[in-house]
Amino acid sequence: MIDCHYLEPTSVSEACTLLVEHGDGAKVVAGGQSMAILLRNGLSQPSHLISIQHVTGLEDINASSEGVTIGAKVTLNRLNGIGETHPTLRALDDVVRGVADQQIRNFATLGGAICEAHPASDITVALSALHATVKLASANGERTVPICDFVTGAFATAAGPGELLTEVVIPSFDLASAAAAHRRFALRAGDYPVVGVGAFVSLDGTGNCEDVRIVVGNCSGAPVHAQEAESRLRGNSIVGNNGALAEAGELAAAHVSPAGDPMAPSEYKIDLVSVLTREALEEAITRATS
Amino acid sequence: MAVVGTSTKRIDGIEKVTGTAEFTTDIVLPRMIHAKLKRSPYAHAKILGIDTSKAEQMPGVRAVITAADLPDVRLGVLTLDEHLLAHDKTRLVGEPVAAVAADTPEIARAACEQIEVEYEELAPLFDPEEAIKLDPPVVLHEEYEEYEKLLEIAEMDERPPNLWQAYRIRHGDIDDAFKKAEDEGGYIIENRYATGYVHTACMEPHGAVAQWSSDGSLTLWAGGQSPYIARDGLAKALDLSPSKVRVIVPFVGGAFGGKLTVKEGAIAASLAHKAGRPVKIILTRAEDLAATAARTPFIFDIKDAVTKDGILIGRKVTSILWGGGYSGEGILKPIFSTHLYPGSYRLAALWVDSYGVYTNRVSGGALRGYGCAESAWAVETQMDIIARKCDIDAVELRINNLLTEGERTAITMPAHAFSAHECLTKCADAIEWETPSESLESPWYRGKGIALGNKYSFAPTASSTELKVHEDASCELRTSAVDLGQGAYTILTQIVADEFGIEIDQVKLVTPDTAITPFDHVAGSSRQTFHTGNATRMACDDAKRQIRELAASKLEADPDDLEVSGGRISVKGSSKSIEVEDLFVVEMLAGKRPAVDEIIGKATWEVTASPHDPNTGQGEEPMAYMGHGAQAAEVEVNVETGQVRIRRFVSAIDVGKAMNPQGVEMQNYGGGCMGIGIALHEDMCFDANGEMTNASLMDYKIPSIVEMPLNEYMESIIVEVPHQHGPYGAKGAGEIVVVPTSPAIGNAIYDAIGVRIWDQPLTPEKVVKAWKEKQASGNGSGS
Ligand SMILES: Cc1cc2nc3c(=O)[nH]c(=O)nc-3n(C[C@H](O)[C@H](O)[C@H](O)COP(=O)(O)OP(=O)(O)OC[C@H]3O[C@@H](n4cnc5c(N)ncnc54)[C@H](O)[C@@H]3O)c2cc1C
Repeated sequence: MIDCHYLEPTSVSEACTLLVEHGDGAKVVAGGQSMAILLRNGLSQPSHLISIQHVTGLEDINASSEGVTIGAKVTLNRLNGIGETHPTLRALDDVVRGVADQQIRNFATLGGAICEAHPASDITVALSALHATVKLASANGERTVPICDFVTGAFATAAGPGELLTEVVIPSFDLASAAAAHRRFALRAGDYPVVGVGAFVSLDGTGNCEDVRIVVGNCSGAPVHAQEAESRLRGNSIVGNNGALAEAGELAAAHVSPAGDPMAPSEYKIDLVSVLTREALEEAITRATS
Repeated sequence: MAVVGTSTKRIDGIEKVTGTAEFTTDIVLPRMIHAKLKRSPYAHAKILGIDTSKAEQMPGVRAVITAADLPDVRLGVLTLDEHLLAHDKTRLVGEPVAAVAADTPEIARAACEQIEVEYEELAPLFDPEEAIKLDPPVVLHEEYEEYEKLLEIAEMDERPPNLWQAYRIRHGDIDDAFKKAEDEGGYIIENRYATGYVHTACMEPHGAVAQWSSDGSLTLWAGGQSPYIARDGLAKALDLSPSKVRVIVPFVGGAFGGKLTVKEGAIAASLAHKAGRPVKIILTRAEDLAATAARTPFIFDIKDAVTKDGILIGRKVTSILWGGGYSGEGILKPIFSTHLYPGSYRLAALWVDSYGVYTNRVSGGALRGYGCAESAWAVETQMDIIARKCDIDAVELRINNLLTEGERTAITMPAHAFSAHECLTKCADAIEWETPSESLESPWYRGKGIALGNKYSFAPTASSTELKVHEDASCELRTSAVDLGQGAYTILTQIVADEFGIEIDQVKLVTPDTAITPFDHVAGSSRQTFHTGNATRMACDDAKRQIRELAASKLEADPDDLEVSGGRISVKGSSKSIEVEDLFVVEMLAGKRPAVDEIIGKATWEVTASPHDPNTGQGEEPMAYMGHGAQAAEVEVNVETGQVRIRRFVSAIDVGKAMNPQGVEMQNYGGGCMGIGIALHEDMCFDANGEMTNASLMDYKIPSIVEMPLNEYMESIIVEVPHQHGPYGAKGAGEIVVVPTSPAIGNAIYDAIGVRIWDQPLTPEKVVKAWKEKQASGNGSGS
């Protein structure tokens, strides 16, 4: 049995007030899919659980010319297929269908997935490749943080005391010449991935790479940017250039030095980074050119 | 209508599906409290002192025990080497050193943290090949020579100090076989194989509820495989007469060999005694995975002599079972695993040295296939390698080496109801063995593999049952056979229904309770249908004999001329009959009572066996029966990620007579699933201190439904070659279904990508590594 107070605010401001009031002992709970595990294993021992179940205004998905805004409480199942309505989100769609299982996805929220800051989270990886930002609310107002700065390490975020993640903004891009994709490999269906790679590419008029982002998950506490791999591609011809993509894969692999997992030693993870980087790039290019 | 042989629905199905079936964890007794264990964080350490005072003073704590509170007896299956709570030393991470009973599990857990144990860390020993040395760096059991041992091991000039089992087979002239292979253009094929650490990981973790009566007798509820083994183990651990111990087995959520003893139950009983209150203990998933017996690894060095035509003429094996801190239920594995060295094949010469050693890891236990599922990995991969070497089809090669009905194996097991050939060919047909797999686009490759298996059921052994007939002609079977999920209760019910010609719902089962139900050895070694099935039929016969005798005078006929069926006793060849009810008389205020005695049939089915000489492995018939099966897999391998997908899977097993065909199908599917998990996914991992690093179901990878082939690609084939001693000809089905799985899959991987991975499980990481090595060397690493 977990011995703590369970509070159910109904608004963002009320939630933020409660977070301040109960200080370090207060923890947010959304869908509870990660929190329940943390509590059971004694890894989180809050004095107060602040449930945002009844907080209104965090369930919307809105598109504007700037981009798509997704409320923190949107569940992963609602995001399944999101790439069809919002084609800029196809990389996120690549991820959510592989997360855990239907029952978990029915409860798991996007905000929770980000704030858990699990080193293997591929939601964060895909969102980083998409240059997403997160909006944080607190008693002092709101601020916006790029997701790659938000997740600071394993199970660590830049959220200050009393801050609640309210929404995620994925900026729009020109679908005619740019796209993103995510590729993962898990040992078993529904598992956190051994490695996940998100890639974003945009092409110039000649089919050369104008911009590229390669983000690797589960090779460090937080997602890693494979800069050498990006440099190898930026400004160069990449459409149909399998050699360049394979090289980028190898450069991304050379960039990481992951700790091994019980059934996936470091060398194997590095091998996977190479394969999945190449595959994510191939898919992103296919999408950008079709 | 006969129900034996039909897919009767499970008699426990509704209870289980609706959640009303009672498992150990559901039991709540008045004043019951909860136990937790304090476990060793060290793989090897001396215990210098234990201070329980802080824990004892915590509010809500009712009892704390250490080894000092227990009788100083060592326990074990055949080598008695283990205390209930660590005595002076701990020999594995997670070994219990103390226990607390408190008002809630949380208080008990908190109190465990307050127990202070002073340890002196000792160097741990993890490597079995170090452990088996005559001069090992570490000795786990300094007092081994003084331990009580119930089994003789092979003679040795000098016993390596960490060795607890040695067994030899000396059959035929092995040197001559190798010489012949060499001289006559044959082959000598030598390889090393290893299996991994696998856990039963039952849906229901280990647990028990213990309660004492004022007369000093103990009742224990525990979901185990054998109430009588549990009863005697408790009696020994607590220094009680067995008659003072009553074991009741509620529904069991899976066992697979992992619930043979009730260590936790004995600790709970001791706590209950001290606290004067009933105590419940339920292990957490992490404890269950990390600290209860596992299928520990084997290392096999196997060398085969083969003629140029692919006939096996000699085999030499050295194997080491990588045991843990205690010999436990793994004690017979080095012996029983040898059953598969001849397996279903004719072998003129067989020479085996099989050992078991202590190391500072989790103790070796039983897991579906006890030793055979492990040795099959080596033997059936060898057969594939031999076939390729000789350029003979792998099915044909196996057929060419098969025994024939009536022959004896190299370990003197008679080949009876010998269906290996039929299993193999049916399996091959189903997977379209003759048609090679289609080529896929890189990086995917497809391939097929096949393997044959064989599983003994041990002897000596016995099962007893009692059958009471009621005035309404319904029957009540009293049995200590346990339904672990395998469907035993349904099959026994079917037997009674048929023997008495009554409906299934007129049969009631009185389930294992040592105060009521008679001896049954164990729900293990695929023995319930065979042995308890026989005992049940015999008890039915005995009850019917009593009925005939009682009815004879009423019907004015000879008992031998009477027939009992459907609640009537009739004279053969005449219309004269009475009802079973007529054998009862009305008693004032009491309804009906038996006119003479209660009608209770009793029977014991016993199979004897002569123990084999541990120095030669030769003797009389060593086992009760052997069951056969073959499996084939078609796999898809991604050489970049190492992923292996089972595209198609066929399991063809011989059950003699399918008592409940749907039950057999479930064994084929469920066993196939477990076998696929063992082959590809499941691996208990340990850190440098000997602690399991993946003790959760998130990290210990039992395959999910997604890892299984799609519906119609998973095929169950039932073969029925009746056994002369089986009830209705039946043999068991519970274990054979995991025996050929790993080699079938490994052989399919070879067929797909031309690499062998020698150690289980065949994880993506190993596939990638083997593939890269093959690319680097320009050829396969096979054979
Ligand atoms: C079996 C399993 C497999 C999984 N596999 C994957 C996978 O493959 N890839 C992947 O990316 N993820 C995976 N996940 C993680 C999953 O995405 C998260 O568990 C889920 O999204 C968390 O959402 P939740 O609403 O349940 O969060 P909760 O469990 O309620 O909270 C999680 C954490 O976030 C904090 N939090 C939640 N909402 C907010 C908020 N609005 N503001 C501030 N803090 C907040 C909580 O305090 C807590 O620390 C897996 C999870 C499980 C259980």
